[in-house]
Amino acid sequence: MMNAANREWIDRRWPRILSEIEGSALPNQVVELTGVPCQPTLQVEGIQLSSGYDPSAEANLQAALVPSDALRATVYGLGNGEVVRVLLGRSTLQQLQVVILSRSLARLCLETYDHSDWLCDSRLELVLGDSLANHSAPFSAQPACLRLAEDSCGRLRDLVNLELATPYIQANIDERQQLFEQRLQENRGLLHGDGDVAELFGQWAGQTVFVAGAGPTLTDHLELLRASDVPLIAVDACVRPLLDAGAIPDLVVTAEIRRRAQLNYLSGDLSELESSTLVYSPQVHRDLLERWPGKRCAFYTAHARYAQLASELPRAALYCSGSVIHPAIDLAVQMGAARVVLFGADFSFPRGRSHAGGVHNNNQPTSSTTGTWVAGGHGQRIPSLPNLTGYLRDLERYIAAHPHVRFSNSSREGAQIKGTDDYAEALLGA
Amino acid sequence: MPSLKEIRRHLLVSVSSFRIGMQAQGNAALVCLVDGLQQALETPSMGLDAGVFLPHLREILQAQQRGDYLRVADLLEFELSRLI
Repeated sequence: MMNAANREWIDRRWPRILSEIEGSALPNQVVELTGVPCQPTLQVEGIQLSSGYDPSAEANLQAALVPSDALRATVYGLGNGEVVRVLLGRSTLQQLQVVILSRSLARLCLETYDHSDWLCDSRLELVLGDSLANHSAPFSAQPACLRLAEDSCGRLRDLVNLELATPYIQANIDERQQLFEQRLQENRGLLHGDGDVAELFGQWAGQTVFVAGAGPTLTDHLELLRASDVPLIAVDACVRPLLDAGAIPDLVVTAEIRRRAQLNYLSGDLSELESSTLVYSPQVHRDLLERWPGKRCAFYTAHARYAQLASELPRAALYCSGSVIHPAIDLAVQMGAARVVLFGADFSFPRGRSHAGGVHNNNQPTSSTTGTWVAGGHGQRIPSLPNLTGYLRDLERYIAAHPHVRFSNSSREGAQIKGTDDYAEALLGA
Repeated sequence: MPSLKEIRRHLLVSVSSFRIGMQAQGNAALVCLVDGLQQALETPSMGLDAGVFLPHLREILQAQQRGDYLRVADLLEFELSRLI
């Protein structure tokens, strides 16, 4: 039974939300963790909601993500309410949005803890996460609430997680700067002689273009790709399974900075690719460039680290946000595609596999780690990894920013990609 | 081999990162912490007893595997730290 004071305030201020919360079942596997030296806390489906030792210090740490002079802020997750109290304790704060990421978890928290002291605060706005299209900043997030987000809040959860991961991602990019600069130097000679990806722009205006990623569901469509005359752009990792199936891509996109992975992806006889063009980022190792039998052209990205090189040796930029599938798709769009059909763009581990059959060294069955998942095309939960969900959400933002292009996903077995249309229809239209 | 001071630093980074939801950063620091501890445990001069550490490390990795990051943070901050 919900705490009476909680219920009274929510009913008075957000009756629809109360109805939604009370209409949901409580979570499974709820355990109250008690015992010296712990502060009581709840464990839900194996996930601890707050510190069992010092929840107050933890709440202060979480609240510190919001700048002290912020006028507005958001808290993702209800939890024990401590973070909300810390933030509402700031006299400068004018508005605080508390986002419910799971109705059932919210019901549990409202039955367990007394939140009435802050539910009455006029600065507070309570919202359901699935009513929001994007995340807001500045924010603080309850890690357990993110982890236990319901299906309808999966996208918002991923956007918040991506935002939280951004400093780490940027630090990683910065760490590789020396290697990056070394590659640019090594490739300067080739860059001078190779083409600019801009030369390809517009060549497929108005056409349907296939873009192949290396996800497990690519395997389901190899025969289609072999038999089809539709222009095909492939990421480097899926070239070998395509060639083995007799499907020759028109363009291959590579941005892989790791030499070993690169050469593994494009190992063996590449003579069938002599009519194919390699579209490469100059951070790729020279060994691969020299092995390529056909034409090459280079692209940069919008990242500032290309600025100096671009001033000396201009090349067009392709969109990239961590995955080579991004520039492959942007290339299709820049080439004028009216429709882009995605193959093997799974961003998850459907059927417990990481890649399509035939991808070198990456075809091992894998299981989910840390509980990350995405919604599949059938609404099923598919194990994934935080980096893959980040790539997926960035792709969705890209798709939303290109409303003039029709995007289709060829498989329901991988991640559902917002902005892509009916799967079967995409295949029939090939 | 990292010093105990460095190992503690990785522990603190891991704890704070996990508590605010920065999983990637937290996991990276956790890897450094575990690697450093393993080396220290294999070095007799460090005077660390593997039998004392291993049960805690096992529990930490189990919590990490299921994505129970606040539990990981608690175990690191309030159990493992007092052993280093």
